[in-house]
Amino acid sequence: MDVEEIVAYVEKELSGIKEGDDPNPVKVRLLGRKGLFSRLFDNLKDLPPEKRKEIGRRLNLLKAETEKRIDRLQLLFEEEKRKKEEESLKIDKTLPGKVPIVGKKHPITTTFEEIIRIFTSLGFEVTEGPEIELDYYNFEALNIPKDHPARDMQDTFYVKDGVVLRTHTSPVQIRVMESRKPPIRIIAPGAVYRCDLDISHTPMFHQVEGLMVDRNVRFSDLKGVLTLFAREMFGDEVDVRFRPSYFPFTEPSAEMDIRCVICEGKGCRVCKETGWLEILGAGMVHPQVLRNVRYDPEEVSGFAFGMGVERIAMIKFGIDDIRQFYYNDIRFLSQF
Amino acid sequence: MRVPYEWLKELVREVPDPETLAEFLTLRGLEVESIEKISPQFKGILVCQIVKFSDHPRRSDLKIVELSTGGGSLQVVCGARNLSIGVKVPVAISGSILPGNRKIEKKEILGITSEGMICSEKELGLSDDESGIFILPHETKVGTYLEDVFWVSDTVLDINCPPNRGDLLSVLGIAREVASITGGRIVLPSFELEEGEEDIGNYIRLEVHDKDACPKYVLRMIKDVKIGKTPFWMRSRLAKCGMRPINSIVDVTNYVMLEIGQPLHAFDYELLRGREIKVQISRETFDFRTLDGQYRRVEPGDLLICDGTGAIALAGIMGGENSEITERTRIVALESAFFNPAYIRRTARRLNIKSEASLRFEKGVDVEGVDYASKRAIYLMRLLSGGEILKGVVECKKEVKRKSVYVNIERLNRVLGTKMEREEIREALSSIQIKVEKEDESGFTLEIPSFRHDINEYMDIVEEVARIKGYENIPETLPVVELRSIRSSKNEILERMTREYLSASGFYEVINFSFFGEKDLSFFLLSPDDERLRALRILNPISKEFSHMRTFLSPGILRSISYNLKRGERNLRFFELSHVFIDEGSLLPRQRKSLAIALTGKERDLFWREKLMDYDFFDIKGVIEGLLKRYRVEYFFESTKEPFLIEQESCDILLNGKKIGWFGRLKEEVLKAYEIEQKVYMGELDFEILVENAVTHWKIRPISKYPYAFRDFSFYVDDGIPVGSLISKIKAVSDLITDVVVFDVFRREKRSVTFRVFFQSYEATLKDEEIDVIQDRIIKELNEIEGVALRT
Ligand SMILES: [Zn+2]
Repeated sequence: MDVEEIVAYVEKELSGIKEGDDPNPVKVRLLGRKGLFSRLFDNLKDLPPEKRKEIGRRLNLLKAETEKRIDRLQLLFEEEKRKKEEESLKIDKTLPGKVPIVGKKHPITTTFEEIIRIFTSLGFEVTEGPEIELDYYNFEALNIPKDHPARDMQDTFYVKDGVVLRTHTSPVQIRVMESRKPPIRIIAPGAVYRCDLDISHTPMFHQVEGLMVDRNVRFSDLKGVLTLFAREMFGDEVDVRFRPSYFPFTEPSAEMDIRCVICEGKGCRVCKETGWLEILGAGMVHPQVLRNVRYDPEEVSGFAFGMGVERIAMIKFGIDDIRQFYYNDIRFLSQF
Repeated sequence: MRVPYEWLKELVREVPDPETLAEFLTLRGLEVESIEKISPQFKGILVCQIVKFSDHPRRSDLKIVELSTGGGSLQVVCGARNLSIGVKVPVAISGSILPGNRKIEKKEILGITSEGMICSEKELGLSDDESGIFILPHETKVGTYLEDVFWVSDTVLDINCPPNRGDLLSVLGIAREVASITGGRIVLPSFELEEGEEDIGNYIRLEVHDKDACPKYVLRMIKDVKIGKTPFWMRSRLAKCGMRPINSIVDVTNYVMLEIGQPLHAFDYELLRGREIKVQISRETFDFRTLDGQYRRVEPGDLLICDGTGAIALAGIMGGENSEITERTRIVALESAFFNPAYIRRTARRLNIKSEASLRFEKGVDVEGVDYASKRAIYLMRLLSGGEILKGVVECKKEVKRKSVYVNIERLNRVLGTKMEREEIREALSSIQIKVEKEDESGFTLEIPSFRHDINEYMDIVEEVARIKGYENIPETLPVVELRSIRSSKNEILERMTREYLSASGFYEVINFSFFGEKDLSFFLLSPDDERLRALRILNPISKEFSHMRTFLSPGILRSISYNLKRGERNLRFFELSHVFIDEGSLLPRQRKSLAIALTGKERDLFWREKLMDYDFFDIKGVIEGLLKRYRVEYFFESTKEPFLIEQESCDILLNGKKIGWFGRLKEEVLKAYEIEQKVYMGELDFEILVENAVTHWKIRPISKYPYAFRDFSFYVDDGIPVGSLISKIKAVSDLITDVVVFDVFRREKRSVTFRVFFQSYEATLKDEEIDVIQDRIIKELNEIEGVALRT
């Protein structure tokens, strides 16, 4: 047994492992149960005792040295393996993510929902009425008899004798009052129709009507409730004013303006240089309207209001052409 | 009503500046729509007086004019015909600027020096008149600049008057409101009528047949008039109010109408047949030519002005051509009247005439102002056209009493929510000429002025008081009411749920007009008995495309898709939840809500990690199934006969055996009609039936404590056998089967379908042997079907 030869062999095996390579095959060959050292120690017993001790000592030293070097190589190998694994996990985080596809409600719907939320929280109940309506409910019962000048204010679509596309949501007032007794607190959202088409008119648009009838409802209540609405809708800092107006079915009649949100009252194109934006029409229910539904104007009073949903949405979102709501252009709809 | 500020200032003392005035009026309910500044487009135009003129030596149609400038003199060459010595004229001199930034220099005209130009109205941009030089009013001061003369610059307020306030349709009407705001005083124009010797009674006779239709009618006459051009000051006021000048008689009638609100009509006396005027109600139908040259159909009941032979005017609406004032008119008969508004309204509406006169008569004019207007106009006619006013007046009238209204003070305060004192109310009302007639402890009896046709009952007074005191001075209160719970209706709940489900699923809500056209009906190839053809026609549609009320939503959605495709968007998901209208012969049609859903293209165009598939039948089917599951209704799909669908890729939707809608792929010819060139899958459902049947309250099932298991089965399935029927069959095998999923379908020689069946118990963990039993039964049941075989 030539120890020098063994040392050279072991050295050759160990130096054959590159740092980071797997040392295990060599480890098995040298240190395994049937490996080199195991065989050499087995062969020791065949040597004469004087040689056996010396060679045994040198073999033990060589084995310890080998184990140390293999352990180091094992560590390097594991380190390398971990590095490689980390490398393989790396992705380009700047590639685009997959955004879920969702749609949206139409801005008219969301505006409706907002108005309805405010009034239902004040105890108003939601009702609906027909869009194709009798002349009686759309006009006559609302104190707009045939030949009344106020009929000129609304370009009516006619369907047949005595039947029109409702020009406002106000006929719902009559239908509700005819069908129940005060106290009444309702709002009626829906589509209305007028024969007109330009940058500020579409032949169909949407309104929300409101009605409150009870003993002793006052004009000051109308002001209070609608001011509250304006604050909810446009923010607490909104400036509100009421000015006289004319509707055949209310008296006194009023229009509510808010301070122009675009120019803050300095005057601009949108507010026609007045600094104010008209938001809704309102008034105390006309005594004749109350008589028409067999209520006694001496006993009960009420207020009514009506607002254009598109107009409110236009103000809230800064839209200047009402027709935009009806093109259904995805580039418009996706912005809400 | 367009109101020139300078004119207004003539009728009322104390007028604030135009902007402040506009604000005041708006807060009074007289909304000022615009404030228009009229300012001269010229500068440095000198007022001069013509001293003398002579012919140009080389051209006799040109004159050499010598002008006085007050301090000095000028020489100008001028081609106008209306030169006369002593008149005052505007002269553009070196350094003056005319409209369009035109500059004037001193120059030589055929050898004669001209130091400037005498201007016409057109050259100054004041009117279209270029018939000669502009002769200025005699009181204009020589040596001043024309732009400093007040009437060339002005401000016009365009006021949107409430339709029930006919009394505001004049400068005087607006002046009354201004006076009540500022506390100023009304100053009516003063004049003295110089009548001639001849009595009007010798010229004309008046007869009013129905004094209800015409409670007051006044005639005055003037003879020997010379009709000509109206002076600039009156023409410019007419123009500012939006009226076209005509001649020196007609302009006066319009001028007085704008000034005090009383429409007037002038007849050419010599064209009247039989020296008489009769106000009567027509008993027959005939065609009558009005002075705009059109024939109008007169019907029984129309109020007419007639002479001895026949109609000469539609009372209060428009005069006839047969008695029209012309350049040749020498004698004028002037009508001033109060006609019953109901008559005027009815006839004007039927004939679709909106004249300045009818506009005022149909709202009611001031019966007490009829005579004043007549005097004012005849005076101005003589001032402008010369001649002699006939002595006296021919009139017919019935006594018209002023209305009176009683107002209870406590009630007034109660309605407004105010605490106004008796004196405060009295003062507010007297500022608009409503006077207290009588009073008692609780209130007043008020006398309403004759021009206020809008005030008839106590609420009208409440409104006036609120208006005069200012809405800003009424407090804001919140009503005290009983608490009440507000419940959402089933419809509201389901509408919200549907919109949320669909938008969360990637669909955008669209809103289309409720109209469609006859074309849409034909595009969808509907058979003649289809109820969707029963669309109501609009008598006055806005266009041919929008001539009917829609009976279903699909055409509108296709239009929305087409619109977006043309703008480069290829992938679209839309839904609409709105009303449709079906004519069932009753007075009002059936109006119900419908829900339409459509998709086209694919989920998105590109994603780097994977290739995306085009939408197909199973995408629309999935969306609809998901929706129906949310309503918790029992539904069935069946093959469809909808003529606009490709049958192989479409279904009907049934609820309780009744068809409630359809979905699938639209035929290419339908899409082509909407200019769509890619596949569209859509569906439409009767939303009302869904709401009726939907379940909105349910109990939650507890979650099983035991694990689930699954087994996969592969079968060969003949093409003729619907996989859906096999799923139902498998489900029916055992209660322990919780779900059946198809997870692979492929075809080699035969179609092969793989099912994954899930098992779960609420009582125990399932043992393999238990599942084996069910598995065997599934295989047995399916193998028994002809055309189905287990794939081993
Ligand atoms: Zn503004």
